[in-house]
Amino acid sequence: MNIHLTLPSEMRIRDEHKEEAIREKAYEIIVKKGFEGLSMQKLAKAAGVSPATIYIYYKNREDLLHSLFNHAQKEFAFFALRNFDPSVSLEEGLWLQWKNRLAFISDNPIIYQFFELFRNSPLINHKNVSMKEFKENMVLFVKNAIQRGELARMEPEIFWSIAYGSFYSLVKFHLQEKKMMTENFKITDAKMKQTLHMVVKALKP
Amino acid sequence: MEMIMENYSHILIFKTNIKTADDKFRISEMLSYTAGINDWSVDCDDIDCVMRIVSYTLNSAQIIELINKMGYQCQELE
Repeated sequence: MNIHLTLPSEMRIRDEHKEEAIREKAYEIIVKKGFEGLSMQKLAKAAGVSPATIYIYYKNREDLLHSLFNHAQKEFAFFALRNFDPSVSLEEGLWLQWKNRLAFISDNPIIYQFFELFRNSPLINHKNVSMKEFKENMVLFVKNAIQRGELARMEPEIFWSIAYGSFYSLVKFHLQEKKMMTENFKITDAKMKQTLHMVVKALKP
Repeated sequence: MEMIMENYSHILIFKTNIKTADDKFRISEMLSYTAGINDWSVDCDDIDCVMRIVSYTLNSAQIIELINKMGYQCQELE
């Protein structure tokens, strides 16, 4: 076997912090300039690293995008599943989901915007491996609620629109992505509770 | 703060002139017959046509020699 000995000074070391910094920059570029604004060279320049460093972590732009999307999904799932028990009541479970998702958005505003941009993009042919546990929990939660008679049977899209669409609309007003009557709408627990009561009523059989 | 470090010396990065699908095909044939190459890719969208090689046994000079022999330019990317 031909063994290549590398001198310590030449050693390439994987540095989690550097990887994290590259990823953060990539999200930022995409959110600011769109998918077309991102190239491996531009990313290297923006992150202050050499192009070779970028290529240690990613094979090409497509590989980078998949990795960014998977990372975003993992972060989202991590927040969403925090303290979540799929056997709790519909109201309690939805409340925790709204709170957890709001925490994710507040802590990761750039990743959230990236997610919104690419969630339904054909550019990302996502594998969804990281979402298995999240999906299983959400399905179980819904099934339990139906069994207990708290939730009417309906198509998943209709359920999502009422149960989560209302929440995400409030988030959009909060982030000033949408404007209506009030100039400075801010999401609060009281406003979310008020909305949730109506949502739970609407979802009843 | 915990710093997770991993040796990445088995990933070799090169600047090449492997541009077209045809070039890539020729290279792929050669690399698939080369022992010691665990994974490889060429980013033809990049201006430097960056080639990425994963090998625990071959070094940069050996890779450059292989690619040069095929008639392509190849140098380590800084």
